[in-house]
Amino acid sequence: MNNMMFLGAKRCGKSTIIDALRTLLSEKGYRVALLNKHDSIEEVIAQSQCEYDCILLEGAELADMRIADMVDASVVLVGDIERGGVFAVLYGTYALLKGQRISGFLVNKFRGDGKILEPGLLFLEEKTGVPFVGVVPYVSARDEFIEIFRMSVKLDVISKILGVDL
Amino acid sequence: GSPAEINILQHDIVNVYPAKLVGAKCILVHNIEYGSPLAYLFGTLSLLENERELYSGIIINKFRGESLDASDLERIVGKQVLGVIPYIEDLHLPEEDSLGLRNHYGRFDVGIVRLPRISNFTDFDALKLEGLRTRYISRADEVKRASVLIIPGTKNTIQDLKWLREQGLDHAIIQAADDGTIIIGICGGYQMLGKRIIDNGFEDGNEEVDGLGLLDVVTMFNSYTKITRRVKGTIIGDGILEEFQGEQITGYEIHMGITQSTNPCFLINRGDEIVQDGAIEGSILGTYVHGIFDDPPVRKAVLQAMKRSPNAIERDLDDEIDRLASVVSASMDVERVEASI
Repeated sequence: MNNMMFLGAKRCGKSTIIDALRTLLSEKGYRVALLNKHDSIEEVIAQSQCEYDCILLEGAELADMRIADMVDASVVLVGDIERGGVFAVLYGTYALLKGQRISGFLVNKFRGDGKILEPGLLFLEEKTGVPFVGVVPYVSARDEFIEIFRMSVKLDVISKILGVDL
Repeated sequence: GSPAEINILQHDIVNVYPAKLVGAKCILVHNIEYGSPLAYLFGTLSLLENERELYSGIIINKFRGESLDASDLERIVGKQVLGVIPYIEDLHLPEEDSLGLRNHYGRFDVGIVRLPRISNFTDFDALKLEGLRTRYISRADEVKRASVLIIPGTKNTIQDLKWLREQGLDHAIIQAADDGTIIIGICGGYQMLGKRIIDNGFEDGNEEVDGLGLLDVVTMFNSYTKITRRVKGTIIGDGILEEFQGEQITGYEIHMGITQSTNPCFLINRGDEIVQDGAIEGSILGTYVHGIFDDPPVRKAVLQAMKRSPNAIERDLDDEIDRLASVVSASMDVERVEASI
């Protein structure tokens, strides 16, 4: 079992993604702790050792990698494609972190034909050796998000990173 | 978009490609509102391996802080920062792409006052056929950005008029009328544009309130009789309707209250009787007829008046571009830019 941090800019949709993933994990009987900025990390780590199977966390800045180090989390970089330059931000973050802890990329809020995105995904996967864990479409109805998330991410890749069976 | 959309790089003819064709230098601009400037700038230039040398520097745009220490950025990214342009509040420029429209803070064409008890939401849909951008407004500061203001129908005129005053919208609308903005009141909105509304116990109780005073009419609620019918009409009004006199309109009426007017817009055939409807005063128009925009004449009248309006968007655009230019030149090292190219 592993912990996981979703790292991305403000309002890129990380917290919705984390909520959806927690729901999927809970459905399978896993006990998940969420780590928010205001929580005491030490407390959550101590608690998680006996009460939880894994911790999911949110990170907004490169400096938040310090927290990923403390809980020994794998990091998934989330890019909001609405803003443009999603490959630049994903690759830039990966490169600035020298790839450390980065175990996946995720594109969020995608609209349109997925085929157009594919060459970029392949290019980045080849350049970094880091897989895309999913391209999540833009979802306007919040209550549909979990189902759409389930269908648009590679659950086997996420399972492997987290050491679970989704 | 970004110059480093690697998925479509082969087909991308709007970014680095034309610069290569003409041998131009490039400047990479980052909208810092989106966050992650280091990752974005470093990532972009890394992915553009072959074009990297074309870039002579970086500009950071929409910066909201006091000052930005760019030395780390210059060291890591390996390009000089040629300017840090502050975020400019309330800048009214046309949107660059469709995604921006959702958060459009600039000027728009038609502002619809979002009355709490608004009725008949479909009255304005037809305006979109003319390519006009409609938008609901509920704050006084939004009024001045509209070229046309519509006060729609309401389920309770007097209560919504009170709400309008609480928001300070009354002063904003009167000011807009003085500035030449086209103002259209439909049904309850028409009643509000008048001088006075007298309720003899039929809408909300016994009450008399002042209207906005933009049209010389008085509305009386003297009975529970509710007029509900489809109507056909002919344009007879002057002001912005003048050139369209004699043209036909269709629509429907659904209202309580009677409004006396000395300068009507339409001659209405209710089937069993022919009556005058509405009031017009230059570019201020009030009517009981819903759906007046569904037929072309009134739409055309509004469009034509918009073009002539002193608030035409074009006029503002020049001022806004000048304002942007002065901020940009003040926050950029123009000599360095010149030297770099």
